Amino acid sequence: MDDRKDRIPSDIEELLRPLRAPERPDPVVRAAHLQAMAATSPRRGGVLARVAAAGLVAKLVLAGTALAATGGGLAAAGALPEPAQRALARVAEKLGIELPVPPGRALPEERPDERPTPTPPASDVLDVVEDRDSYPDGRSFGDAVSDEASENSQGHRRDGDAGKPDDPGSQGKAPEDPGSPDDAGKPDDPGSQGKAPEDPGSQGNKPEGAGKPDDVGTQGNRPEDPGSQGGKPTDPGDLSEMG
Amino acid sequence: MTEVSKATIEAARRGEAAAWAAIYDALAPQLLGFLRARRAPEPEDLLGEVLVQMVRDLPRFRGGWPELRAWSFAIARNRLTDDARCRHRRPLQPQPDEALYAHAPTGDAEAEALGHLAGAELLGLLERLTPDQRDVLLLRVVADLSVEETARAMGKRKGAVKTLQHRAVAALRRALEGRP
Repeated sequence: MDDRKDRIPSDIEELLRPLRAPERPDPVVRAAHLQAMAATSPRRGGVLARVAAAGLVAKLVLAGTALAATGGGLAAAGALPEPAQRALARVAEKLGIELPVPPGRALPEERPDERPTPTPPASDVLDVVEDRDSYPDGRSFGDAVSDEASENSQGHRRDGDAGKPDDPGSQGKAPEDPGSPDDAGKPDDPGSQGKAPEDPGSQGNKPEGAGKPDDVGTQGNRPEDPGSQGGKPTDPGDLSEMG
Repeated sequence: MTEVSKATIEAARRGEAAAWAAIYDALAPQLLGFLRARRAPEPEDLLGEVLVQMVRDLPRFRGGWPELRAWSFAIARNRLTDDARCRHRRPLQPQPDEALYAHAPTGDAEAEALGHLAGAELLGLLERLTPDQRDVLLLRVVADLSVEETARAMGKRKGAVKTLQHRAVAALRRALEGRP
């Protein structure tokens, strides 16, 4: 405060003094302001919020404890519904607790692997690329990369379609022998585009139509037809890619 | 000027209404004078907004009474800026200078009239200063803040405030000399 007296020239201070005169707000305005301040007080809201939150938390904790006790008891007795019992048993197993598992299906961890782990598609190609120096020229290197990539692609396609023998959506391929002309279009193949025998218009079941020029491109019923997709027993997945 | 103890500030932090009333009574006159000198169209409304903002932000405030005063004027300046922006977007009918003194105490009519005129002329002189120069003078004289508190309220360094004050005084003197 002293520096103000030292620094502000007295004539300027005198000049500004009328503005300095303390002026109390009107009592009505003051009351309104104080009311607004009290309503805004974060502490008040905070206390209320904390009390409300504490009650809610207490209820949640009670509910959680009750649920855990009831569920745990039922799970230990194996009395829960089968899916819930299995799920709880799976979780409990990770915690080192053994709970009864419903008979019939083992836990997922105990199931044998049904699908082989696919190799990364580009790993073989990467091997070739890393051996770049062992190729005499760019062309041979390019050929090697191309061969590896196409082999990889075919191999993966086969891998990807393995395990789909009962795929009802497969087009014109009999699962047992996809290229067999006898099996093509049989009625026991539900996804076959070849029609059932009682369908007289079906191209897939007319042996006399096999190989005719107008049959080129029909799907899956004439292995002897070079244009037919059904003639590639080793590539059952191609049709699905053709859309 | 009324001083507010740190205990009162702590009580206000706890939400005690009496503590807030004490702070209000200590701050409101200077804040109102500052807002009026800055020609706030509705100074009492702005005063309420400033104090409500203080209540809202007090949990984050650290310091004693000098810091609290400086902080309150910093909020007031920000509110004035916001209000000016808002009014610039939505212009209102400007009020005459005399309206700023509508709440002055009644008494001798002649003295009051002279006072109004003097106040209006003084505000007109202050208008000739830059906004920062005007704020430095108002905060130093009307709000009675020290150089350090003024610097805190304006978000500037002490040296900058001293320079502004020096220039403000010189500019005000020039304006007074050029007055008819």
